[in-house]
Amino acid sequence: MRMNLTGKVILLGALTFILASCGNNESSSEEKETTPADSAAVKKGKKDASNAQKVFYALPSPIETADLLKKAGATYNKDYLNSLDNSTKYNTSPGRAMNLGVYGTDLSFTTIFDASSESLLYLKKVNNLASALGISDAFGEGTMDRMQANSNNRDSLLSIISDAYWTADAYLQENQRPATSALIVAGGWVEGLYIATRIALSKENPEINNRIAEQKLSLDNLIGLMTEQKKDQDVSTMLSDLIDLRDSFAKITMSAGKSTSTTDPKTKVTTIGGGSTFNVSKDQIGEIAKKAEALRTKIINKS
Amino acid sequence: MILKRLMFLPLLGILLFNVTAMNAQCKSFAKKSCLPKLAPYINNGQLNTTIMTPGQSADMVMNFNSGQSYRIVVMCEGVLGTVEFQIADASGKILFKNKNGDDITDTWDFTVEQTTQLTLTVKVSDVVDKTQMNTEGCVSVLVGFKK
Repeated sequence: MRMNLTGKVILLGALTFILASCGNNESSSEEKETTPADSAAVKKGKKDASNAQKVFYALPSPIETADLLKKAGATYNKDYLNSLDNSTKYNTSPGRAMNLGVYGTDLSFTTIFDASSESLLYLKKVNNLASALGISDAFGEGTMDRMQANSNNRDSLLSIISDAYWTADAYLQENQRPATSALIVAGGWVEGLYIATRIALSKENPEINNRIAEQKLSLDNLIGLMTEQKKDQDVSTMLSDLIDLRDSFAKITMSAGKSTSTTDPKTKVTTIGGGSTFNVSKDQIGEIAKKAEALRTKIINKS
Repeated sequence: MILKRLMFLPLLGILLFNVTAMNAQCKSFAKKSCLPKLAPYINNGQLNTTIMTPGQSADMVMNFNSGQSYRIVVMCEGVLGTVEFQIADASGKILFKNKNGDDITDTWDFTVEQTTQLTLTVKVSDVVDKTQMNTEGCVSVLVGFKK
C-alpha cells in the first residue's frame, strides 16, 4: 500500500507517542488496582491522583530510618546486619537488586553509628552488587575514596552515601529499569524494618515501637511503588509478601489529627502540626517482627 | 516496497534514542540545577523527575516523620515557564502553596510535629502562546531531611 506524506507523518506521530509511553512508569487510573484494606490516606491519594498524569511514591531513605532509630535510643549491633559472606549467593539481577537495598541499609546503619571500618566493608559489597547490575558509577572507586577521605566526618559520609543512592536511582530511571529500582528500594525498606524490630524485641522502648508503627504509612507508599511495576515477576512476588505484611500493620490503630501549618516570617520554615498518632501493642510488634524476619530471610537467601 | 518500509527503521532508532535522551536530559537537569538547592539537607536517594507539558500535573505521596526537618525542591526546565506546587494533608486540606501573588518559590522548608502523610501536587503553568503547545520539559521533585 502506498503511503502518502500525510500518512507517514501520522505514523511517525503515532510511533512517537507509543515509544514516549514506554518505560514511563505512569500510573493511569485504568492501570490502578485497588488492593484490599487500603488506608484511608491511600484511597484518597489514589482518588486525587487519578486526576494527575503521574504519581510518585516517596519512601524514607535508609539513612533517615537509621537516624530515627538512633535518636530513639537504639544501640548498634552488627549481628542485625546481613552477613558480608552472603554476597556470594547473589547471582541474578533480582537477587542483586534486593540485596543492594539490604546492604545499602546496612551501610546506612554502620555509618550512622560510626562503625567506620564496617562501613567500608559494606560499601565494598554495595559497590560489587551495583557493578553487577551495571550501576558502576554510583558506588565505585570515587565513592570509596571520598568515604575514606571523610571517614571521621559522619555528615559528609551520609551525604556521600545519599548522593550515591541518588546516582544509582537516576541511572536506573534513565535506562528505563524502574522494576530494578523498585526492588532495591523494597529490599532496603524490609532490612530497615527488620533491624528496627530486632531492636524493639531486644529491649522495651515505646519510641522505637512507635517508629515501627509509623512504617504503616511508608508501607502503603512502597506497595504503591511496587504495584506500578507488578508486571515484573519478582516485583509481583515481593508485592504479595508486602500486602501480607500490611495486614499486620492494619491492626495498628491510627488517629489522624487536624493538620495545621504555621510559617515563621523570618526563617520561612513552616511547622506542620496535627498528623497521625499510633497505638501499637507488644503483640502487634511481635507479629510484625515475625513477618519482617520471614520476608528478610527470603530476600537475603535469594540468589 | 520492502526497501521503502525499511526506510522507517532509522526513524525508529531515532525515536528510541529520543526517549533515552529525554531521560538523560532530566537526570542532568536534576543533578545540575536542582540537587545543589537541596543542600544542606540530605537527599532521600530517589530521583523523581518526569517530562511534562504545559497544564499537566503530577502528584507525589510522601510520609514525614515526627520531629524531623525537611526540604522539598520543585523545579522545571526553562521552556516550561513556571511550576506551581501545593501540599495537602490526607483530607485534602492545603497546607502550603509555593505561589503567593506574584511571588513564587522553588523550595519549601518545614518541620513535622507528628508523623504525617502529605501529597505534593505539581502543576506546570498553562500555555499562553499557542505556538508553545507542543513544548515539553523536565520537572524534578527532590526531598531532603536534616539529620
